Amino acid sequence: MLFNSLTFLVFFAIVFGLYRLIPGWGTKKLLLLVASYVFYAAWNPPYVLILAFSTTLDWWLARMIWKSDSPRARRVLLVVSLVANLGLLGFFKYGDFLLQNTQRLLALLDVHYAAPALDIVLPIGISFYTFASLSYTIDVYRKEIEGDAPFLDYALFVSFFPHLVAGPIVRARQLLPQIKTPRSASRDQLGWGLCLVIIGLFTKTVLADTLFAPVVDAAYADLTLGAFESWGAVLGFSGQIYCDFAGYSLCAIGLALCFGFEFPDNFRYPYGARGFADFWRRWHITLSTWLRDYLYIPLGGNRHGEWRTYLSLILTMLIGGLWHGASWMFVLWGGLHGIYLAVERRLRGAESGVPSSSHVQDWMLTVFTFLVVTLTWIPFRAHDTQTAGRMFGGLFDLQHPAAQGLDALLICYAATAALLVWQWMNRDISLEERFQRFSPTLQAAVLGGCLVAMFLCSGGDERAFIYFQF
Amino acid sequence: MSVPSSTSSSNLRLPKLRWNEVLPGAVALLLMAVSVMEAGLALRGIRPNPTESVRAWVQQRSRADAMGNKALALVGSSRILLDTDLQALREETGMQPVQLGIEGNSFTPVLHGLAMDPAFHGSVLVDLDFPTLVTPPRYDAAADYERYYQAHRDDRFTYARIEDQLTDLVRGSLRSYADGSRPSTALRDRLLHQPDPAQYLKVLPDRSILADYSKTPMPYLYYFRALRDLDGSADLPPGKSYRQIGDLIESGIAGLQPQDDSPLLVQLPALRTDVAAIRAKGGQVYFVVFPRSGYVREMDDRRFPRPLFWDRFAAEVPAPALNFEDVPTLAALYCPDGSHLDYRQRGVFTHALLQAMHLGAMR
Repeated sequence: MLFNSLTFLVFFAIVFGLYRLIPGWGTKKLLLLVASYVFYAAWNPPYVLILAFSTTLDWWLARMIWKSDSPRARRVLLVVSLVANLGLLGFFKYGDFLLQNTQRLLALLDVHYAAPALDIVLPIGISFYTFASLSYTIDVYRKEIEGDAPFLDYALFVSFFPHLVAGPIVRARQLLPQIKTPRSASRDQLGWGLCLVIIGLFTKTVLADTLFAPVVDAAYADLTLGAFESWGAVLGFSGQIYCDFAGYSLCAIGLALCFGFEFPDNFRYPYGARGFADFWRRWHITLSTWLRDYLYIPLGGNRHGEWRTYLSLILTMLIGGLWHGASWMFVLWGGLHGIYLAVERRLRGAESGVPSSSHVQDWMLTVFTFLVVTLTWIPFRAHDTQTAGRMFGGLFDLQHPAAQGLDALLICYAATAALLVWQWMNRDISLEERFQRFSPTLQAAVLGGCLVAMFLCSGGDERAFIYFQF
Repeated sequence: MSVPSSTSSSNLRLPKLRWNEVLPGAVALLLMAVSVMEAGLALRGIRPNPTESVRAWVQQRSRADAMGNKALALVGSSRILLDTDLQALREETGMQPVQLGIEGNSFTPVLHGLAMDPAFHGSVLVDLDFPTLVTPPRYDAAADYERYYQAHRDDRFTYARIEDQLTDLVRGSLRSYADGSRPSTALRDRLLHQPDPAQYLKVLPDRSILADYSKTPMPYLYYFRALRDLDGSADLPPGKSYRQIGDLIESGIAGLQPQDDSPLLVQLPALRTDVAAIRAKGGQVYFVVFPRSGYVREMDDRRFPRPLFWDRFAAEVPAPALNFEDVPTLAALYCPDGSHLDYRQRGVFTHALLQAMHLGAMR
């Protein structure tokens, strides 16, 4: 079920109404759990069984780990959890990819192996709920949290519909304590939650889908483009993917707030970043902190010398790239970011992200970071190296004048510039602070403007959120 | 249990605002904007009508499969949507016509989808349009429509159906969505644009479209379409008389060169395969070049000369094919905007077409 669908509007109205009406915290939690499973089943009903299986197994394993005093038994139980979760993820997400690559590898050795076409349908959100669930068993194993969560609480933590299919990746230590105690949204939570939903939907439907996506889709469908169109598409995709995913995250955070739950931030004006480490502190924060805590640090982090640190960074980003999908293009994208982080660390030392000494330097660093990040989206968006190469080549093709859709291209350029300026202006304050500085009339006008723009841009065929596929 | 500060959200950052003013104010603004638009559109005589969407197309696509060998799938772009009379087709052929036209898109993805679909056993009437065949639109929605159908044809769960019904309910009730328009398009083209183009199109539940050109601003629409076809202009040049615009168009037409025919040659083998696949399932494919008039016809004649395109197509694709120019009754039909027939001509066109192709009582 898409947040930007009429069905979700009805679903939310019913669930929210019942949540406010029915008495008892246990009943409210049960309602949210059932609603979350209905939300998930709307996409593909049989796949709720995978969600239920993963939930039950991790809850039971974490409980066993918590109860056990034997380090060996605890380790074995953790390994079972890792194998089960990553095995499910591997089968559904990477099964075909592994078989195809095995076939190619064997062909190089002159062994002819015909990989079966598994034709697996990827369970939506599996990457997100697997990581959320793993955070519980790992944290219990590390004795950072207790493993005594009641099953209902744990099941609700994993499946709570605002974060279920595309994050933010909420950790057990963040959400379970909130689920434990009765909650009802305060006036401010409800008000701000609805504001975030409106702003998030505006960002998704108006900016990502209406301004950016058509230019990007048209360009990637026709790769005989000149520089003006290619740059428009590349900058446009930067805007599209940010507005799509940040918009979704705002909706998720806002919806959770409406029920009295607080989710962590997922984006903090990433295109205003001063360098790549700063970028990853601002982009998909819940994934980057997850990778940092459960991958980069266990790999050694910065504790084993300079070169080992670079290796850990690159390996973490390669895996982070692969997390996005079963394609070497995502691995390439992750690897490039790993290299940027390593080079930056080498050049600037461990204190990367410190503001530059002058405004000009600061501005140049921000623009440089944005441009490199933008160019690195090319392999992320392209399905193969050939497409990526042609798009990259188009950036330098000054022979072709813009063929079609000049207005849309110019709007795309202007919107990207506006986005960059907005991010630069706001990178050191939160959205809440910015919004609070407006007068009540302006606040109402901004939100009303978002609603009117959504209405004006409605009527096309709805696009799914990009991050659903991950 | 502590929450790391790097990932926490805390109550402290929640804005404390005058929510009872801000949120109702925002909603009031939306309601006001929608009401003003609806009132403005009502004053211009715009009526809400069923929406044209991928959902409506998928419903018809599904019918094409369900009708077995009685199905007559109509494939192409706006001409097949506006020019064919489904009732006449039904009565005169005994078949069940299914409207699968998609405005502004090429016919090839849908024809290919029908050919490869084991569930489709019917026949196909194709609106053969060389411009879209040789130079497909940059974004071909037809390919997406067909992919969507193939991916969701077996969906039995009701989420998609609920969403369809809610969407149809909302869009079918508001003038801002009339004729499949987006509210932004309705605002630009119906409320702010001069001359005010009246609602001359009516979308029927079967997806066919009726065009009543008596309601259109003529000759504005005729020149606008011609100029758009000629050089992609978004509007008529300001400050010029229709005569001057006519001269401009005529000099443009005089300079037109034949299009490269190699894209057609590339497509012919695939078209032959699709035709053979449909015939192997018991169906037939009929290709028809639909009527054009005036400048649009002249432009097509220049860009797609008959010997290079039509003659070659008819010779190399083993399927019944008809060019409107070869049938006096069809050639005499007049397209008010150069490209499409008025709805009053649909019956005449359909009857003449069936007679010319000897398609009476097909089953």
